[in-house]
Amino acid sequence: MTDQTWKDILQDKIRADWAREIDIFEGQMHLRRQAKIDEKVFAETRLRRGVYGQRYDNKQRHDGIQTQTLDFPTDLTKGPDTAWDAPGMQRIKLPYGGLNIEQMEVLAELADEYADGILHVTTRQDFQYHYIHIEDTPDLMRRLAAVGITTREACGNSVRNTTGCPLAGVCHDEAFDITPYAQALSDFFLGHDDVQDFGRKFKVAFSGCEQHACGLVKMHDLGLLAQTREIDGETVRGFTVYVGGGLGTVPHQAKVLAEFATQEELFALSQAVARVFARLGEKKNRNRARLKFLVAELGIEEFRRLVHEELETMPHDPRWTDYLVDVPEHKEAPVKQGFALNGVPVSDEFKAWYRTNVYAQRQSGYSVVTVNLPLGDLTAQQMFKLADIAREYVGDNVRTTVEQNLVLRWVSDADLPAVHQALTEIGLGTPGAGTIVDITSCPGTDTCKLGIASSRGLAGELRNRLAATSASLPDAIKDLKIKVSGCFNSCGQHHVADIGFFGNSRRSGNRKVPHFQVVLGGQWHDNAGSFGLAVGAVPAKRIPDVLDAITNRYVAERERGETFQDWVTRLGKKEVREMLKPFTDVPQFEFDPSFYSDWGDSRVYTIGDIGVGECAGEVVSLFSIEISKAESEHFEALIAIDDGDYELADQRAYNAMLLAARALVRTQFLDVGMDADSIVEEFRTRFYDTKIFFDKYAKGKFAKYLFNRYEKSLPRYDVDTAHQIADEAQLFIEACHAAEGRVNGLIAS
Amino acid sequence: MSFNPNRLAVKFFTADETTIDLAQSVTVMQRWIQSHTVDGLLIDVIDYKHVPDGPGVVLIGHEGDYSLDQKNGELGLLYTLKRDASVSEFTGQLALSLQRALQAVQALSKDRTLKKPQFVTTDFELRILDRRTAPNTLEGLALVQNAVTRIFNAWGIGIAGLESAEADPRDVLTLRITAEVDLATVSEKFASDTVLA
Repeated sequence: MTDQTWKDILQDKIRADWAREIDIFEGQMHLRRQAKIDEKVFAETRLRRGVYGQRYDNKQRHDGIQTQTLDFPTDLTKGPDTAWDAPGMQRIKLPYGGLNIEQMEVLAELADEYADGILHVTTRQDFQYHYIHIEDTPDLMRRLAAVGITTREACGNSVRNTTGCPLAGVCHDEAFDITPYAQALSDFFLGHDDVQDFGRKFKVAFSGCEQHACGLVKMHDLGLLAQTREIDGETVRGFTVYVGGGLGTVPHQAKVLAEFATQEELFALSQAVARVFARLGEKKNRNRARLKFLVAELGIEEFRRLVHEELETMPHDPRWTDYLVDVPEHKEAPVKQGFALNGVPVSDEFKAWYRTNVYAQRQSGYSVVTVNLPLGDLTAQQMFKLADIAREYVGDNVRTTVEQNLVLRWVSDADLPAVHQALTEIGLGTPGAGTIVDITSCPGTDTCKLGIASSRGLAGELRNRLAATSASLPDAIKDLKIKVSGCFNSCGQHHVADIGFFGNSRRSGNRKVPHFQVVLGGQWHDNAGSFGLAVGAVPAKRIPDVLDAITNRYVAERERGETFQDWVTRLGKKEVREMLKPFTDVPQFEFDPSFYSDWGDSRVYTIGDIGVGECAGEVVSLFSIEISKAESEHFEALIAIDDGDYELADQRAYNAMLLAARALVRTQFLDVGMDADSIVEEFRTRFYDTKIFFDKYAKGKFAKYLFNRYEKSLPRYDVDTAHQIADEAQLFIEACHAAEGRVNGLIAS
Repeated sequence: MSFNPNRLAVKFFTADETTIDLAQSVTVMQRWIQSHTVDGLLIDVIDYKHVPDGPGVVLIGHEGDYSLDQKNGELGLLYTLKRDASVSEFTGQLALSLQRALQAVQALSKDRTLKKPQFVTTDFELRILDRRTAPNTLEGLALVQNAVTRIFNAWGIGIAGLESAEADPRDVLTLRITAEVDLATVSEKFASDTVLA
């Protein structure tokens, strides 16, 4: 029990730069409460901390009869049409899905204290909490940061979580373990200057092999496929670099940018790709702003040329190769010796689980156990118990997967029955991981503003039905992948499923009916090798029947060894459509009203609750994002004055001026350094000497505040000097705003 | 030091032999939103019945959530107070949570769709969802036990039992409290503490 805040309690446990970042965000929240930060700018800054909106945060919700207005206590907003008090979502990045025991326990704690008691694993190996209040987010971030987890850039127009195969390091087929590379590149990109000015999100994935699915590199903006080559008698590590992949409304297969980039070349090449995207990517039309459109428009040859051109002009960064020192150090250690299972009697339940949830590692005597999470969800209590299981059997060798499960690596084979028993006791011993029962789904209309139909409702229904019959399912369909998205944006990755569904709606009379578009023949393996085709929309309530019809017919008609994808191709789109036809009719409301509500939602269905997604919100200029940091720093200066720490106030005020100057410089020159010398020099040359900074009345006066402080520290630290420097910083920031406005023609000179 | 947890929850358990169709409870809670059956700004219903021993079905509100919670395999009505400006101290938070939980219990026990499930309202579980102010330690337990005892004395409600109900120190501090009377019959005793003076 304590009067101390979480900030006080954790101050020695958080990396200084991360602690600073969170303080800045907290300051920006305060400024937003005072309406001193524009709501669009604030929205982007909070997205870049993983603080997301949720459905109904526009204060409107249809209750099945009428739209109700949600009267939150304040009118304050956290973004355009986004109520401050409305529950939101917090996304948490885990590079390559890596987790340790301490992190598991803290994640569990936070679910209880700030969310609805549930942790949710996403299709990009993140965790998400739902129903979070924004006021709780700084402490939530601090508690995560204290155990090495950041939420920075989990959302927003920047580099999202870097995913990687959950079998990296233990896989039989990998070229090498991509884990240290995924971590290092994730660290390199985090907060990097060159990833702050994208028009949309940017997703990175690593894969250790070509033929399996795990990394899905071919559907990412930047996909890195581990390769080795023999060069001059030495085995050289590198990557095939893919660019411009992505699902979304219209999926694009990634193109090969480089057949083989060495590990020494990887970071520079990746950074060059980011710079080209920032420079040339679409920023006005959000629907065309992903990298895939730029690559498609330019063609891969031209894109490659531009990347190489960028490589030649980019300032050198020692971090491109510094990370290689740590790569050989990366080793996972089992906590127990690996022994064979050795004929010990086991139950039928164990056998069923073993068949689907256990992968024999290449390291003899060890296996990877997949913990099958229903719809990617688990409770805080389950997570605590899972941490105990990890502690006993595998140590810190836990990862999330893009199939919304968890894996425990380095389980001694002799311990498998005990692990199965322990998992069963906490409700996590369900077999069927990676099979047709293990359905992936995005949040859909449960919480997403863009959701059109209930993907989780459908996924839950299909899961229940398939689980009930799983023992008798024909072998031919047991391993089919089913994925469900709530809309066409494919967060559920329906394009790469054997059988995919995405939500839409159709009219019946003067009512709307939830439907799902059926997408068949996607290819999960070969790193998301190809995409399925939409073959027709079916009422949501008929989807289980459609699934039965499709799978029954496949089983009956498939030729020997014919894959589902090949069968769909052989059948042809026309015939598939015919197959769906009996299921497309919608009975009149009076005869069967159940069609007019969605799975798991008893309300009469409406599309009125669909809002503007924050992943497709308006682009905020780089200048706006960067000057908001200066404003936060200035705010911190004022806090320091209140606390009587005048020296700190001076430091903050001066830093605020430097950040503001840098924000202005970066409108012309992106590669200005972070040091005061570089910033002041560039500012002076580009904006003061040219008089661009001058306004009609004050001329260059406010620039002198920066120059004076740069040349000379304050003579003393007291309340007067602190106030003065803070005032000067405020005026300088305002002058930077005005200068930027004049340059962009928004303000008359 | 004043005790003012960030979040707390109160749970009344179903009576023996009582079962509730959670799928139907989704419909019931959606109806509560339509007709403002329970207090608070009611936002949405989320279905977690697929999660073993999980939150079951949750009616998300701004000030607090109402859920048919199944933690530890024990079904009950849980009210989680999250943020309510009308109460600022533990006394008011506890009073408000009990009042709202009892309101929901009453609504459920009259609901024909759910076959009028019955609840035990002499016992309840109190969870303090704030590890900073009340960690699940002996010290935290003593703090909360003393606070609850003081409050119930002030209300004139006797306590027959007040025990820790969660042994895992990582989990939230949880008490099982048995009153000497049926709380549903004496709710007027804590009604005045449900709002700031």
